[in-house]
Amino acid sequence: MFSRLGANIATGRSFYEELRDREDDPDRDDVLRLDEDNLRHQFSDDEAAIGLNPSDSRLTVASGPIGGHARPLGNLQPSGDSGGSKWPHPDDDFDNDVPTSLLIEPNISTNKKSHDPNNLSHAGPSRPGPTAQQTQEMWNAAAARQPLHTNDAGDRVRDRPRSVLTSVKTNNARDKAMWRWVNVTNLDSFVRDVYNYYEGGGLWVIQSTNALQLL
Amino acid sequence: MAVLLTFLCQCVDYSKLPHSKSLDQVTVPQCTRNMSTVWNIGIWFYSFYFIWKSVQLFFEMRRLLQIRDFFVHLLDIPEQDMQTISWQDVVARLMALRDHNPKTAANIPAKLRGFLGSQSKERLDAHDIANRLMRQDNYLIALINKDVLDLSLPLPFLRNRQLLSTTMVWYLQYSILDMAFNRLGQVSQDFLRADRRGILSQKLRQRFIFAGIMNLMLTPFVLAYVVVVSFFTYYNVRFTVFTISCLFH
Repeated sequence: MFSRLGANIATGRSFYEELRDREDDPDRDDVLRLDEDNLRHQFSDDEAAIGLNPSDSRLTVASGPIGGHARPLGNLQPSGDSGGSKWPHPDDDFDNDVPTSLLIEPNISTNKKSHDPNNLSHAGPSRPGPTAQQTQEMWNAAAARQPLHTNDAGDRVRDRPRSVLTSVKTNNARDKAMWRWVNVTNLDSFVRDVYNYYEGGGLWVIQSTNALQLL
Repeated sequence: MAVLLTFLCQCVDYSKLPHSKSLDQVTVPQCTRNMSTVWNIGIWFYSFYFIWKSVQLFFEMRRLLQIRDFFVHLLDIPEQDMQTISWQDVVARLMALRDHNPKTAANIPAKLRGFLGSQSKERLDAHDIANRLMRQDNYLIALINKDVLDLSLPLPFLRNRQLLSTTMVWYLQYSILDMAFNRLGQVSQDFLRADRRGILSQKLRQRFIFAGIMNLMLTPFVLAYVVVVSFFTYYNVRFTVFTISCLFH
């Protein structure tokens, strides 16, 4: 019985890895394939609307057709329902509210400098790029809703847009906190963190409790 | 604590204690050379554990600082209030912030929402927060409520009665919940697929067997631990019960 159990445990480990891999694998059910379709759709929206410059955005690293984009980035689930963000990120292990939608913001900010029609040709034949006026409207709607900080969390933003926007480069702590709250993607873990902090009773209480438990 | 224990056990010569007057006469010089290997190994483990925990503490400080900023700046709860504020207050203030996050906001035009990629907004009211926090507990409660789990012992005296002890809860959590939920606390998609039921059920049975074996092996330690913890928890209550019963006699 133990040998069978041992064999099962050996296969079991691969089962668990398989379990985890299946979470990452974009090539799954119809339901999730639908998400992938949406994701693909979103990218064609992005690229058509904003005119990504391939050289300074991480999104277009694999600068092939749109279908090729969805593949390496199919790991990203747009909502927080399934496993968390899979963007390769240095803070991923420690910080669940990685602003993955941060990439949308800098893309909006790169709007101003690259209306290059050559880039729009990446968008694919089915979606002609919207006019500059539409992108401007989109930008105004997003900017009116929340302030944009260009160099705020410097180690998180991969590309640094040097734009002539009217956003104020501020280091105000409140704005930083607001920025993090705006970009929270995994609400579950965020709420759990808030609750743990509340239960712990504050920063110093938690840390001193942990330190004293070491003794 | 490890230093103290080591000192007390290894470096003090107890046979000389009744005769000596100062500490210098009792301590064994260079006691670290003569320590038994078991003690040595214990100390090495403890030092590794200490280092690992302090590294973890350091990294947790960063995340705690971010949450603290959130509390202090966005929720307007200063540090002094953290010990006295109620959870309802925190939830109410959190709900006031909903409009800022694009995932939960209610006032975004449909075009921009489609641009962001999410189909519908995520709710963040008190009910929803409670659901998110208690997802695994609720799942376990539902399992027991629907009589999916059969917790009766096959002894003739105790048949048809369900028994749920603390350790049983632990084992259930290990075998069922760890498989159903992924690392972030969300239901793993693979668990819900109907076509993998055969493999999943076999895997579950394996987990149960493993938990049962671990139970047999670890019973004395676990029992001691549970007894000690319950003793400390209910210490005050026990003595008041005794005094009240003494008053009646």
